[in-house]
Amino acid sequence: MNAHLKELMEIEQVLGIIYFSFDGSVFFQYYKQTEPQAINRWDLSLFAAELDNIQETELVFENIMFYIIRNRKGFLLVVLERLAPLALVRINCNILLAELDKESQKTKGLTRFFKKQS
Amino acid sequence: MPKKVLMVDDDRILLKLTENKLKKLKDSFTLLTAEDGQQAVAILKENHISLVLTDLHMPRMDGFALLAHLSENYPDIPVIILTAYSSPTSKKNALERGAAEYLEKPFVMEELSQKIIARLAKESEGGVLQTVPLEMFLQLVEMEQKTCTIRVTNKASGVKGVLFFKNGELYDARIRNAKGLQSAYQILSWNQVILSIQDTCAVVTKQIKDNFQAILMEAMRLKDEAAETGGSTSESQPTRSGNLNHPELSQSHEVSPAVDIRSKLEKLEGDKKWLKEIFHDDSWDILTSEAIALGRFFKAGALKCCYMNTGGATDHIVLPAEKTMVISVTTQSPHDKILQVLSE
Repeated sequence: MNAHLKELMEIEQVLGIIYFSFDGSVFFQYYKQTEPQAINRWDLSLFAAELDNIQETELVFENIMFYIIRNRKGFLLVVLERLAPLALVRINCNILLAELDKESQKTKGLTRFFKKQS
Repeated sequence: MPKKVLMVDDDRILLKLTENKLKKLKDSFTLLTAEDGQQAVAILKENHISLVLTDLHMPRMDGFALLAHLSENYPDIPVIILTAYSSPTSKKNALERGAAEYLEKPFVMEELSQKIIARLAKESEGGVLQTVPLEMFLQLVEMEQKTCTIRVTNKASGVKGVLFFKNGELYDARIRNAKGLQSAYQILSWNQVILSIQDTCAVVTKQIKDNFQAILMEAMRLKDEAAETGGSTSESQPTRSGNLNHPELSQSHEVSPAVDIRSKLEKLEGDKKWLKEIFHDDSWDILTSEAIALGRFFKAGALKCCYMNTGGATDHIVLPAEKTMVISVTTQSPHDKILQVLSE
């Protein structure tokens, strides 16, 4: 697990993280406890499509919260307890997303056409 | 009026075949079809369904996810599982998650139609009442501490609603996908109704906390108010998103959500220069209903409110309800505090 991702997961009130593309494909997901049953079968495509114009959103439920932020590849969804330190979560998400963006750019550009010299 | 049965299967040929075979029973029920769970969810929002037949293995949203959605949102609708991949484990899983019956494919059409008829008959196992005033009957239910599911049909509009009673207490109410107290008010304001009574109640947790007598009184008050102001008591059509308008309550509803929101926002300190507008807008309903569906995996409970940053000069606070309300605010608004106040 990436160090920034680990840091985010280590925030006590963070229950899980789902990183998914604009078409709803899941890049990765981590949960503090066991993975919610059948979540793998859930199709996120409609949800992702509806988030089309959203940069950042907070969805407050009775028992938990979703914090969602977009980057160039898709959306990072953080499942939180209701009383989570949102400012801290936001900062960690921004750092993580910047890094994920950087990683995705690494594979782009001319370098991907050339072999590394050993 | 024939009841509606929804069959969900990704096998189009089977759907068509079943539809044709069951046409002869059109006086008892009509068959609606969906090719996966997501289509079924959309149909459930728009129709009052009495029974669901579903396959387990389907793309997008499978039978187990649909079963979870049904037991959360439509606990009164029985589900018959139809599957070709039968195993004792999947059968046990399906029955544990609320399926009423399990039928292996290939099945004999006669057997399926018998099961459908038998399940539909259960809706009115406790009797059907055509002329009894609703409020009088419900007071008896409360006095006798009955546990039952009461399906109410508004004679004037044909709209159906469901009331769930446990030991004489009103646990929940539902009109299509709208649930809770507002649905109870709407049902209780209907004048001429047909009641069918089922002697069980599938709702486990009490969703309506208010005292039943108080609810009844409030419903009567709203009904009188609507009559005095010339408000109609007939239903409007569901909106694009499947939410219901409540014309009976229109005199208070047109004004009160915004007023209610404003009074909650008054709790926040400082001037409210960030507040732009409060209005009804159902264009967020698909997003919020998808969020609610995802939230179920985390036992999220009800969705209270959402903050939406679209990157423009205005942010939106969305309050999902039967009539979704939206507060538009400047990007400098203290949105964390607003969410806190609105979700209390």
